[in-house]
Amino acid sequence: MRRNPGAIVGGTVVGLFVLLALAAPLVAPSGPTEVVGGLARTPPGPRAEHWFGLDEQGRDMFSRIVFGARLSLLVGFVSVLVGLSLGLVLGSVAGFVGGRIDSLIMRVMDLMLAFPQFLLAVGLITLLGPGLIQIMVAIGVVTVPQFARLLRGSVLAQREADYVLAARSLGTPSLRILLTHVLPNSIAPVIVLATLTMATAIIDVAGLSFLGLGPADPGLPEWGRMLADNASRLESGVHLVLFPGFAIVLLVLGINLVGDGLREALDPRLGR
Amino acid sequence: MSTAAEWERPARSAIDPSAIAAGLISSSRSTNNGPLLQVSDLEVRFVTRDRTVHAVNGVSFDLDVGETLGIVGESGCGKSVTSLAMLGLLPRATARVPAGSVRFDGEDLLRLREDRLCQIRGRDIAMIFQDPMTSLNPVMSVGRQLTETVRTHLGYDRGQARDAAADLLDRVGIPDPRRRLREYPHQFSGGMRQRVMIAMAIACRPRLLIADEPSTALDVTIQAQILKLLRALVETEGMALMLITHDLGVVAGTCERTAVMYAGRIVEIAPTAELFARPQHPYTLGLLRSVPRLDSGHDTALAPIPGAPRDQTAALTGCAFAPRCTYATQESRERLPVLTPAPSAGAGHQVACWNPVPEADRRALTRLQGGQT
Repeated sequence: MRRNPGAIVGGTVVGLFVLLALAAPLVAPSGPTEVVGGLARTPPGPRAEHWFGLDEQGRDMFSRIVFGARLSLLVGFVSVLVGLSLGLVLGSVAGFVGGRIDSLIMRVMDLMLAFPQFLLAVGLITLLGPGLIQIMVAIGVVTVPQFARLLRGSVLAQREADYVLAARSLGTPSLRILLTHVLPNSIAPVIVLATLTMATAIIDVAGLSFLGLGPADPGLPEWGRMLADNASRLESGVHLVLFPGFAIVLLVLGINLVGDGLREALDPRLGR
Repeated sequence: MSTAAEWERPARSAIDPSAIAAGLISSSRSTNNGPLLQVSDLEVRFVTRDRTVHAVNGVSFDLDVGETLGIVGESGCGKSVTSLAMLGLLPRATARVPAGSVRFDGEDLLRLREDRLCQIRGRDIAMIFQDPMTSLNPVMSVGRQLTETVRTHLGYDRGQARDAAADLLDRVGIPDPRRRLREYPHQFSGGMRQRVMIAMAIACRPRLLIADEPSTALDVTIQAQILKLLRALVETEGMALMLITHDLGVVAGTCERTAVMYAGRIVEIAPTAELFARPQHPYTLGLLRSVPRLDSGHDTALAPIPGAPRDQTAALTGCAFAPRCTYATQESRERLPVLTPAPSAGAGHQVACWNPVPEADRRALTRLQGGQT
């Protein structure tokens, strides 16, 4: 990671966003739903007291974006956690047990992969209903097949390793072999995928909000919703779309750079 | 068909009674008076969609407490498969064990449930594998891998297990064991890793140690050290040792008895000195002739065995070695020879051959060996 400037830049960007999110009440001049100006058809753009300008309801855009970082990071993290944990269980069971259970799990995963991921998430939200938790679950669930598939492949390879046979010959029970020998040796690519998936999850949330499938509470400073609400006012105030869009791009780029760095550090085939 | 139990066993070095008293030999755990291990008519097949490989075809042998048995043969003759089958470690998807029994201390290992087998593996029977570079988990410290065995089988707590692990590393000749416990496998050399593997295997003082080519992947000097260590451990712990190798030199220096395998069968079994002095099976003779010796002239040509190992996908009629054998007759090709006491050999010497090597040809080998065995 030290010899990868991209990863350092990415790490710094992500780190800044995390700091912003944690210190949002201190950094932001006002609350995310606090009205500091008047209603305006053409809200004022950036100026000294409002760095990113105001929106049409008179709320400070900078404050909304800073608080929005909390939301995006939370959604990215939780949905990856959902996808990762389900994928981890399904993938390791499929790879380690094999046979019919493997076929059954993987055919269900194939079925899920047959749908475009975003469409599947839209479908799930219509089933689960709108709301932050439902969105995180939906986005998490649609990433399960990727995790399960990747982990299964690496578990299959490790299952036949000499040290697994050696552990079996010494009477180590199967579950312990899976947990202490097979998983730690097959988890590296999954961790890389998790970081990259987190970036996609943030885009997906923004996309879902843009389509009006976002969190039900209209006050929530979700970046994608800000884009959607203001898309029709592009001519009256570029800042209304520019800053939320820029925030999404910057955070996703940062996470992707970190993921690439991790891949380079963890993938033995790329050399050190 | 003669079974293992009928074999007349040669006199072996008796077990020191004081060793039993000192608890080095776990005689108390023994529940029957037969041999410690009795393998009878073991068969293993590998079944895939388009063909079946007959890997092991009726192997029988027995092993007493504290005895060392060498199993030699070329690659693919079924040595390793035999040992894996004994412990139920064959890949479940393809391997079948249609016949045979493996009686260990009165229990047939082939009929045991997996959880009972897990108790026996590592505690009563342990195994060492060929390649120490890949047989240790790369992401787990050596100490954790060592303590795993004793914690599983003996229920030690963390502290006890750590002490036991340090003691084990010390016993297999690794200096500064406390510090080495915290290190990872990549910080050890090949020979040191094999010592760690041996330490893991002997952690619970098993009564039978199976070593599958334990020295093959190592340098010659390290090989000698590892074999010396194994010999010493077998002696002090009173373990029975089953040493699988393709190297005749290794069995000569390590094992009391030696079995020669070919195409999934034992073709000859005898006390090691007897086997080297009076090989009865043409295949054994061929093996001995194909090994260079220090005391033969530098212009002495080695005599390789003509032909290639048998394709084991077809079922067998007659002797598997017949196509490569200069002594083969019509009978060899049509009727399967079984292990019987060799007519012109010493006690405990059995051979599965219709036409054992004539005395004159054996003498040629003995002369080549400078009269020594």
